[in-house]
Amino acid sequence: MHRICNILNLLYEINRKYRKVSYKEFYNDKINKDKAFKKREIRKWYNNKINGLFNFTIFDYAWMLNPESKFLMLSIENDIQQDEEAKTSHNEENIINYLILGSHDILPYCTIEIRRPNLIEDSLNILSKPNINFKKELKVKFIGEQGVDAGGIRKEFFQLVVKHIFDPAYAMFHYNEETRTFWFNPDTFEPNIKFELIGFILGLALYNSVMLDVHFPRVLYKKLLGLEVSMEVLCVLIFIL
Amino acid sequence: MEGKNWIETSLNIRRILIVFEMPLLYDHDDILHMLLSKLINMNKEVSDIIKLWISTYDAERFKHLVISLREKADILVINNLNFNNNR
Repeated sequence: MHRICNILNLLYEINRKYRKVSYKEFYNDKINKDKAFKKREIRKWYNNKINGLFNFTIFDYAWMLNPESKFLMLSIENDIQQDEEAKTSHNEENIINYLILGSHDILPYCTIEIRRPNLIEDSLNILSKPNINFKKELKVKFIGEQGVDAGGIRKEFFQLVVKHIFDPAYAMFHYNEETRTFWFNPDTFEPNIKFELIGFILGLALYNSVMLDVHFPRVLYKKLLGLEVSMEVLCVLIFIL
Repeated sequence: MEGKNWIETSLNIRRILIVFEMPLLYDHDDILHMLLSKLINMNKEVSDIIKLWISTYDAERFKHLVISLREKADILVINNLNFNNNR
């Protein structure tokens, strides 16, 4: 299996350069359909990653996986990290802080309290605080509202934040009707830090396995991956201007 | 690269290319494993020549090669799944 994967990897590299067939030709249906197999392999992959091991796993060859499998991979990796963070927070120092100061560091979750009418301001204020451990699973509480967050409130929170931020009235992003994607508004009066916090929110949503309906042009993802983007940036700017 | 090394490298390249030209022969014998192990351990020069060779394939031929190898990978995945289910 290892050897076949290596050859396919070589073909994938060739295809990336010469684009002979669709990248979907490299998806492995058997793997993508078997959830139990994927879960086993993801745990093996994660174990390799944190212990610096080089045992063969399918997940070293991400081109075999369809988006659903990749999302599963990301979710499981996040779950493992959140579990580990919850375990390590249960230490002596946090117990003492909890008993003396009422600190919440000992809790397995990261709970944030938001006022619904001040959604964006409260969110950005909380996210800019350095002493909150966002590596734990996020729980959201809307102040003055009943309900325990089992995932639904968190999802609603992220959806509302995204809806506000990408609202044309907020003027932080441009929406391009033709490409149906968002791009940064160069004329905005908002400081850069606010854009950074928005990036943090989007990352936090992914980390908590919340899929958001936000579409950016491919150039943004290329930039995140450190790939060359010059011509594509030009195209995006032409659309905006 | 000179003399013996060059002959050895060109022989390796030739063997590897045979695998690419006839991917359906794959699982039959030990020669396959030998060739594949050469492929894994190949140096950059050999790798570049093979990439160049395959890049000349037209889309149809390239697709056929990818599908053949993917099918082979599928069989190995099924074997792996059966092995894990029977444990």
